[in-house]
Amino acid sequence: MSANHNPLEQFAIHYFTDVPEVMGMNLNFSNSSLFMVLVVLAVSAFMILSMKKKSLIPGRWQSMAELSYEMVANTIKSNVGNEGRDYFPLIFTVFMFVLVSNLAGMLPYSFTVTSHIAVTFTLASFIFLGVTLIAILKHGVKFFGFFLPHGTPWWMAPLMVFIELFAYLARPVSLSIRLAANMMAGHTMMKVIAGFVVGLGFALGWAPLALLVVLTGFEIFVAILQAYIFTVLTCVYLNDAIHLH
Amino acid sequence: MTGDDKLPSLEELERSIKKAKERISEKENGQTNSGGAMRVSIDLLSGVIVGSLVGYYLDKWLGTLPLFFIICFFLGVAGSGLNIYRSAQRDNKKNS
Repeated sequence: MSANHNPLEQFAIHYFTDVPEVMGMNLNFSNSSLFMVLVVLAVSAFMILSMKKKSLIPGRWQSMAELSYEMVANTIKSNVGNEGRDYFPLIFTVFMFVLVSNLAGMLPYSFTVTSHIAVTFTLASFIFLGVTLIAILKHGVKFFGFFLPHGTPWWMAPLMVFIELFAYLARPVSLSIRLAANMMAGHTMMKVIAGFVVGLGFALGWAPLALLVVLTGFEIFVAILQAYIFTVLTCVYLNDAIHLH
Repeated sequence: MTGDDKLPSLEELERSIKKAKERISEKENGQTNSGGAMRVSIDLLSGVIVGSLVGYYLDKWLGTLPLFFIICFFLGVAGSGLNIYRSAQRDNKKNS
């Protein structure tokens, strides 16, 4: 009765509707979309309901909401400076979405939205395009001076421009791959070791079970850390756009 | 209140200024570095991917396979090296 469960089956997309394609786009509602909706509802409910009382001395929920606000505000202040305060809604949305989707993937039988490159690459490319647009709108044509660092000798200038251009283009790719790879690798490892627990049975299954407990704790830490790293890097790219080095 | 309140001495002032400075720098040092364990490998991989894709599509558009592919591949590797250097520099600036 060796049912070989594929550890990668947890990343499969299942559709709940059966709508025909519109202009080549698949508009069906999938389990990924369901969890994205749940994440957005959870974050909105948390922030709106916690701040309902608006008391001067915060209760427990309100102080958690204020804590999350302050954490993102401090990150922006230390990475972007005071001009970054205009972009607080964007950074807060990105941080809360990635954090709660990463953590929601740790619940049993759930689906990790950010483990798909499609999701993280879309997020990272929109951030990249938005930051580039902000830089062009703020600095005009001088934005292209970003690609020539100060003090390069004239004979190295064309080469440096191309290398800087590739380094700039590699940013959204690395941002997206980092998040997706961390999530996918963590969940795959948990599934594989859980398979060991079942496979080794009652007698020997305790050892991989203990490892699984430790791994789950580590995965929760990685979920929070990766959300934080994603946000910090977004702030760094925003700082590059606003201050142009 | 009896008028025997001595003004704080210069040494006490200096000590409290130093403690305040340490507190401020400690608060800023609570940030993790921008990458962590998989930083170098993922940055390297993304540079290679971007360089190869740009080179390949440039070649398909201009019909000069594999010239641009090779050039852009190495430029992508150099670009990823620049990214790694910059993020290491950023972490050193935060920690020092």
